[in-house]
Amino acid sequence: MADKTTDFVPLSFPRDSAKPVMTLSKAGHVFTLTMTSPPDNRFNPTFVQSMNEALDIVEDWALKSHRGEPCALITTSSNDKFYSNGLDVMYLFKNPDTWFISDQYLQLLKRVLLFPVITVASLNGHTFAGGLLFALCHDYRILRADKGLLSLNEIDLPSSLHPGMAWIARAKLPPTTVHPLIFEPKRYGGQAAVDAGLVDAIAPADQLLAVAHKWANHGAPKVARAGPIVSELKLGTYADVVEKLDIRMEIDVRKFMKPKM
Amino acid sequence: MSTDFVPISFPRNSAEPAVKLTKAGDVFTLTMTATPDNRFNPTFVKSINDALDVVEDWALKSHRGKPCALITTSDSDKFYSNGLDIVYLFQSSDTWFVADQFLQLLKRVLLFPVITVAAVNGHAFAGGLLFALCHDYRILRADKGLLSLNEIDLPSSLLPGMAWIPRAKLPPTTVHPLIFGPKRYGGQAAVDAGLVDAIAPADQLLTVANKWAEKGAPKVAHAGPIVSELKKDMYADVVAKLEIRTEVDVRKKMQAKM
Repeated sequence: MADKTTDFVPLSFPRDSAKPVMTLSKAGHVFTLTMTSPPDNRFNPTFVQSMNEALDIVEDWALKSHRGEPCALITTSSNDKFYSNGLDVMYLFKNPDTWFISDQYLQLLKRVLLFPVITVASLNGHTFAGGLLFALCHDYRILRADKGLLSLNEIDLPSSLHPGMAWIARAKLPPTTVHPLIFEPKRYGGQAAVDAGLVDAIAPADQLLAVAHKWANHGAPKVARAGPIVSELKLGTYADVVEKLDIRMEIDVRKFMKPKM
Repeated sequence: MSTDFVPISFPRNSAEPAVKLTKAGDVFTLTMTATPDNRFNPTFVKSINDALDVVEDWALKSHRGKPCALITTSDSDKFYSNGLDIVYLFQSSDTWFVADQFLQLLKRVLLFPVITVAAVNGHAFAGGLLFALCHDYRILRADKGLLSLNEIDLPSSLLPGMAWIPRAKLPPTTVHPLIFGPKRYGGQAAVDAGLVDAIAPADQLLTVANKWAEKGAPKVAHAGPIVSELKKDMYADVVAKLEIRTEVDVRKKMQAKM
């Protein structure tokens, strides 16, 4: 049997960049996408483009070049403090990129939500706003036990939520979590995050990736057996979220937000 | 009251009935008897519909204004229902069975004019679990009997209406593992996950189911057709999706488990 640990050479994105924002590695059947964009893995065009390129590789592996073999994906961060702090608001302030949210960010959320392999978000730090929505689009979430809070702080920015963004929370979380999450906004960490249905499990920092791997390995056979049906099942289960994520809306953050300097 | 209804089996005059309908007090019991595992095919669906016709007529017409409820269960010690009859679907080219018969039956149960209780005395898998989820309440045997939606392992996708029943009836934290695990639930875990309302030892299962049924029986007496209307209001999105007609050729999608 081929040595799976050497069948994929780690890549970073953007390719040939001195400051990659993302790396993709593989161990066994599991790809790990590590966000490496300082200081806090915020979503801007370079970040989204890099992530899509990494996802292209995983998707191609699972559905084409290694079709019929187990495969799963973990996402995590190289940053000890943050998994992701959401949208790059500074970028959106400085550029009139009013279609970024609809056409790039929300489409990325949709892609992850429907991804053809089982996905596990290994939440090693704070996961706020657009970063939490990104994590919620995964199949499973494992949270660091001692540190790392989850929150949807749009109400305090202040910012409204695009219909698709609100619907991810509605579809994936118990109603008794949705309301405090959005309207207090309540911050969840540790066991409280498990109890609220935000994450599937917690683990000590030094075991986080190992636990994420366990969940990923459990899900890896799904695409081997079901192929494109994994995505079809996700589309069937979350059809309402997808419909709302596809709503194109021009958004100028300068109209309603103050940048945090 | 205990002698006002003579048990009937369906198909009528069949040597191997698929369904039996009995009544005790205000509660009808529909027992699935289609060996080995109560799979949904045209004969089974028609037999259930014929039995439901009798109950519906009783509650809304001939005994209108009187309490009435329905329990469904199985006479198999191992299975409540194992879902669609895949072998039938493979051997016939009945590509409209799922949309026009099975999903319409799910819709009928979901909107049924009396309170319904599934006494889940054995495994309820795939289409069998969806059928159980369309009831108002589910009582599960405590020691035995698992619930699972194993379509991902067949592999098979879920038609829109089939996916929407769990979305509407179950907590989100149950929906995802149920479909994508696929996680199997039994005993107290099934209660905790919101899949069933209670568990009971095997010898008390029907008694407990009857208790829930008796409690719900006055609803139709008082509300008549409004029971169905309320169900339609509450589950309008599920109904809309169950009505989407999709042709399904299982031979293209699955490998038959023989």
